[in-house]
Amino acid sequence: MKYVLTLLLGLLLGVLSGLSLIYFNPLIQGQGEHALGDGWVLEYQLAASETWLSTHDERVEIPVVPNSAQLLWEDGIRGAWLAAMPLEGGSETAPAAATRISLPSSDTNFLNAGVVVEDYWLISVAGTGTLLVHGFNNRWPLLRDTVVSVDLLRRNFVGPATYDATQGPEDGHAVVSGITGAYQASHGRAHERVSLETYDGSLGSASGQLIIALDDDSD
Amino acid sequence: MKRLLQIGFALGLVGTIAVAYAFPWFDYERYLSKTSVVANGGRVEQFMVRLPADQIESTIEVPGSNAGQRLSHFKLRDAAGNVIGLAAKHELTIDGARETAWLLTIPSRGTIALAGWSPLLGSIESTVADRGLARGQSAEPALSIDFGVPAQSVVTTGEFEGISFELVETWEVTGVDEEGNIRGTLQLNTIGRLSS
Repeated sequence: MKYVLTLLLGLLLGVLSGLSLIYFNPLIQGQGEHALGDGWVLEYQLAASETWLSTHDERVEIPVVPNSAQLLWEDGIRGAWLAAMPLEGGSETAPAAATRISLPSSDTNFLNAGVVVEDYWLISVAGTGTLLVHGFNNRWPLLRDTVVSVDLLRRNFVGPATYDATQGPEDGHAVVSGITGAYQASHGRAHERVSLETYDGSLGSASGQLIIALDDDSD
Repeated sequence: MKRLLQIGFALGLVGTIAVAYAFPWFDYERYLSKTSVVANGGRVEQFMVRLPADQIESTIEVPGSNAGQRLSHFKLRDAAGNVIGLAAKHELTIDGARETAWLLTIPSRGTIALAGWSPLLGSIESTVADRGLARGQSAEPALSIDFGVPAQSVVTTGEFEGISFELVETWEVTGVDEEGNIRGTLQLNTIGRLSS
């Protein structure tokens, strides 16, 4: 019995050490490199009052908007997050609106990738056209500071905090492709920055910026 | 005793790191693709949206937009009726034409973004009303409406990469409920051909 307890104690210490290594693992703390200059900055808020639609399978701490929205519980889409929201910064006369589909990626691992989320943004600017932003973002630093640190370890959130999460698919940037209208032949790169003022069990106070740089030769 | 503690520690440490690296944290159910090959080349696949059950909230009319900017969101089913993905449709009026952008995302397979246009400037709801189907009425046989000319793919990712798609949007309307929601099926018929 003494031997079994010793082995179990060793196992427990080993698991705790492993979890500590993961928590502090420098290989997955990656903040993407934001080098898009001023770019075209589109801003969004995750607060329920600033979002038209937000739904998922309730595994993430993001408000479901409206409350009655059907959840994404089916096996084929479980884990996905679908949101629609206005974007500030389109232009004064042409409001921008976006649909965002976020999919936790099978590339996720806690050794050298982090929590990888594949994001698709379909962005329409009234009277102008539609473009698509496709990016891979590492959400581990955000989850570590909120869900793990606050919810699980009962520590205080140290904010405000900013997360530059975009890591791909192209040299650390998301890819922008024009779909309709004036953007039809446009190409470019984008980067997402998420800011969190406070955290009390919900990411409802988060806001974000999508910084888009269209190539000069896009026509 | 000390040796046993060390062995336990090593097992716990290595095991935790192995799980952190190799565990499939996110995996989506992959259903068999219901495709068929067409005679003149290409692959046909039909996606479906059952209405109103698969429409995720009502269509959003973007406030402040005089250009009839509309956003619609759906759960996407395969021909066998399994929910396999999500679809978003953005409609804009640009230079007198109705421009449509579709985003079809199937987590286990990839994404197709398509661009199309329609000579029908109104919404599907107003088009159905124009065909004489009012709230609370049913259509027998179903009213079949091809909405716009085929959309062409602009961006493809995942297993759709390298394939050009054409999408025809057909609404099979069996009725309109008292709240104005359309009942029926939205069929999204795609033809995919290897990009040259």
